[in-house]
Amino acid sequence: MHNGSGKIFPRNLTARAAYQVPGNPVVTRLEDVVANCYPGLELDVRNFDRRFFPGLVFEFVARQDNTASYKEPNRYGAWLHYVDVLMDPDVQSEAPEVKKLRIDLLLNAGTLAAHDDWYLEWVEQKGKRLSMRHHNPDNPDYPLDGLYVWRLLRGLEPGPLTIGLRRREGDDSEIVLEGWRRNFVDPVTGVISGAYQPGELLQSLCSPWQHDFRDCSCMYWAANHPDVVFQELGPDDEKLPNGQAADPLLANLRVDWLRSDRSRDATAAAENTIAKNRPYQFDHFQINQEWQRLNVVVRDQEIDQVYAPPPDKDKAEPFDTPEQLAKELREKLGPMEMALALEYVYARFSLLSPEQADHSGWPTMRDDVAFIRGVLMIIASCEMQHLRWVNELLWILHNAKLISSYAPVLHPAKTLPDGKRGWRNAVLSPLTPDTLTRFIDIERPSGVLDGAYARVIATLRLPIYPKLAIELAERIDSDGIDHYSKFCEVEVALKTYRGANPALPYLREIAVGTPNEAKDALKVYHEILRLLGNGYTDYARDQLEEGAPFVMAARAKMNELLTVGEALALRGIGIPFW
Amino acid sequence: MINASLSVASADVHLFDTEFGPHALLADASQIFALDAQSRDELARAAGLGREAVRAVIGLSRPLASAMEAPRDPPLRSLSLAVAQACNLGCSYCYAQEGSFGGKARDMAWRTAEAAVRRLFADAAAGDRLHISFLGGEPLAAREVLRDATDLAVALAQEKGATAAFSITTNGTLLRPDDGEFFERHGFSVTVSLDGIGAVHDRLRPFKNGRGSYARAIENVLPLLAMRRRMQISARVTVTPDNLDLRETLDGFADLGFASVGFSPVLRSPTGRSELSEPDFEVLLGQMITCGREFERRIAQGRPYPFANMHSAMREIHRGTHRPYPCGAGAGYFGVSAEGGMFACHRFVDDEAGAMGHVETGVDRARQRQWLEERLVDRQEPCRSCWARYLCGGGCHHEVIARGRPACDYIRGWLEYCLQAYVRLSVLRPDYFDGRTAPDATALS
Repeated sequence: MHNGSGKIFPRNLTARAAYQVPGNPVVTRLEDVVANCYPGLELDVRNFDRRFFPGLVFEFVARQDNTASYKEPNRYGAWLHYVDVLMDPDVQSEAPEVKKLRIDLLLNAGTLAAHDDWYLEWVEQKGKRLSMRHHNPDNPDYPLDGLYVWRLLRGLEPGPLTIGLRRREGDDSEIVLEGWRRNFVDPVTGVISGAYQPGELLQSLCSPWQHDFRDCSCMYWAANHPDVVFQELGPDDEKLPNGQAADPLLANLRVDWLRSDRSRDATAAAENTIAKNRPYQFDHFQINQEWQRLNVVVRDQEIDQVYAPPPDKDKAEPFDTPEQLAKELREKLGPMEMALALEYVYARFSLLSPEQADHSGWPTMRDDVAFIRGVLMIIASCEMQHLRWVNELLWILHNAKLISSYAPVLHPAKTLPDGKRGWRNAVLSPLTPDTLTRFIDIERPSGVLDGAYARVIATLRLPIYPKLAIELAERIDSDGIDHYSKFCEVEVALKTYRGANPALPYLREIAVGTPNEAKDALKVYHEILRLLGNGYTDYARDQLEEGAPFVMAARAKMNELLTVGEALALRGIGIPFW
Repeated sequence: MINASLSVASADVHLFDTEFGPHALLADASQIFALDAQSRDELARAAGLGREAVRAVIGLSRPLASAMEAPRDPPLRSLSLAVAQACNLGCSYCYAQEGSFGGKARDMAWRTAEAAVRRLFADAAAGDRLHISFLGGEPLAAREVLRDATDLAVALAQEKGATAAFSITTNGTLLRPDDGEFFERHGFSVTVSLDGIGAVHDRLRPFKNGRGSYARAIENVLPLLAMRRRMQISARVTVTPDNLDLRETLDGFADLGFASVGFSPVLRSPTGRSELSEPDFEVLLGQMITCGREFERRIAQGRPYPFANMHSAMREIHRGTHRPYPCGAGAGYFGVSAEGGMFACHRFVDDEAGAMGHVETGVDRARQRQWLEERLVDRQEPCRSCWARYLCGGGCHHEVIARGRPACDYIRGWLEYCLQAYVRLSVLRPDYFDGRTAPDATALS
């Protein structure tokens, strides 16, 4: 019916009711398959062959698996399930060969239905006959296992075919039918034969689906198969506004989502590889039975009860004009991201290196500083990425002609929110407990940072803004939560050193250097800004190829800055970013 | 590449562009399809070739209908009772000519009201929903008849296992707190005619002595807004050349707490005064779209905005509402005059052109059949060749018969905007159409 070759989507209810979806059901499309250890298993192909002969429906009766004993041979094979002469579209036409088969089927329907031990005995195509029995020279031939029969039938070609049906337990009578091997799909359009009922081709997929679900690597299951999750909080656990545990230990305890022991008391942190977790996960047959015990996961957190979303951020008031939005991005959010990134980088330089920590006399300090330096670096990179996105939002607005001009935003803010509804100066300081508290305060969920983006998001939801912009803004907005829990983890790690004498043994003696002392580092820093500025300017003009080398070069320079900065830090000199 | 707006004029297919790509409205069943550039071009060509070609391009499971048919002897579902053919206001544009419909001012006798209510329920079956509206004049000038008729309808509904629903359109000046309690008890839809904020309203809706009626109406309505639970209260703004600042009016009434504010333009008034002219329609369209844009902005944020025209347009477009008539007048709905005459609707009261029987004798079926055949939108010119005919229905019978169709461009302009807005909202806030986003707003209360 669908002659047009373009894409059409029914939008309102009457259109949806009247629209005849062309082609095969969406579940048979490659992009919709469940994906599994063996991609391509979007349907069970054996179900095609159940109707290999028009008007008949078979079941392939087989042993549980190949290694099982062959103890009920009379049950194995292609068992005739039922005669489908009235509904099967292939036997309805008045063409002579179709009419002949239809009459044969109708004449024999009563006989075939009267007993339930009719099996496919043989098939014959192009003068070649295949028996459905295994030849046994000393004893009577015995029936082949259903899966062997199926493989033989898989080998048939579309076209004329004669079959013999015989009873297994009654008399030895045989019914011979002349017909053809069904065309499973239309040779021109590829549409699946109308003989198959909705769901028929997918039946029997559940078990392999569930086993694959357990086994396959997560790249096939990116959307619905988490490896590790945060477990659901109990009613007594204190929660943050975003639903995370207030206790940083609990908030950072990642558990294996497939764990077979689901009791809360027994929960242990997941191991760091799939192989190590395997022994504690549901096994294959357990998951067939208990898959419903796997929890729904929302924002990395298991949900066992009815999901109650965190307070709605959509309530934020949008900006009245694109220019006001751009002003916020340009003058507030971009500089804020940059100042944060630099504060975090500076704090990272203030920590001993793992090698120095080796000589500290504290047994765990090496691991601790390595971990904390890693966290600070990751979060600083995230803030840099946010800065890039802020710039990207601005050039999207510019390219959509919503604002009049774009210039790269690459300067740090002088003041930052203090997380208590006030403001503080942006400061370069070592990672003392006070500094860490400042970091925690600003990254606290539903606090300053995501609050700052809520208005941006509310604005970008308006129809005049390009769709890409809202996606970017939401990515920035959803990042903050992880930062907060990471900083809380840092706080837990540093508890060990409370009351140490001398205090704060993991810190270097470091102070903000003069521009002259840090001139090498500052040179690299200013080069980074120059390169990013050039790159962003090109990107904003849609000159991606011109811009990319600048941005790549800036990244290389960032690594250089780490090396130069580390060398300075060893001499007690911090980089005076401002 | 065929530009949608330049495509062949077709009565079956209307192509329109949106931020989310080209779309098509099929007049039949008001179906909307999103297209890509290729299918848009194919459809534009097919529109010139006929309905079968259109069907083939889209892949519809049934042929496109060529026209809608008149219903035969539709059951009686709804009556409006002109309980008081008199009014305490003197609005220049009133179709009822200050309530009297050009005749002598009078009230409906109880016997007539009773006969009307009994007529409505005469053939009711269990599960039916029957509707009574009280109109005038000013219906609260006949409060006693109104309340007795309501009580009788409730009793008859209970007897039949049917549901009775009630509405009233009032100027608000005679409203009392105990009216509010009565309306609340019976879940009335209360429509208050308010034409603007303060002086704007006063100029258009003065008392007969010339004083403005705004302060009184608002003073009476506010307590009702506070007490509403079951009842719904909406403001209905009759738009004339003197109150074309719709956004200001809408926001003003929203601030007062109205959950629904609807606008209806004056196309025709008995005196010819206050009718909108062609330049006025252009202003009106701009204003309606301004309000619509604000509605979209609010809904995108999940907040209600009481713009009733937009809300009902979105709901109807989503459902694919397609109507062979602009309303149920003369089909399931009749207006009853103070003397018990049944007319095609409340506007035709005492007008021979719309006479349809009497509450004592019932609907004049022969007259009704003739009316339904004649008034079918597919029989109207230029409606039959207009893509918007089943969304519009052909325009108010009363206005069309008196003045023709001066507002077609305005209606098409508004519907074009609504179609685009529908696409935007259905992409950005599909939850709005599931009723999960506060649509009108009981959420305001």
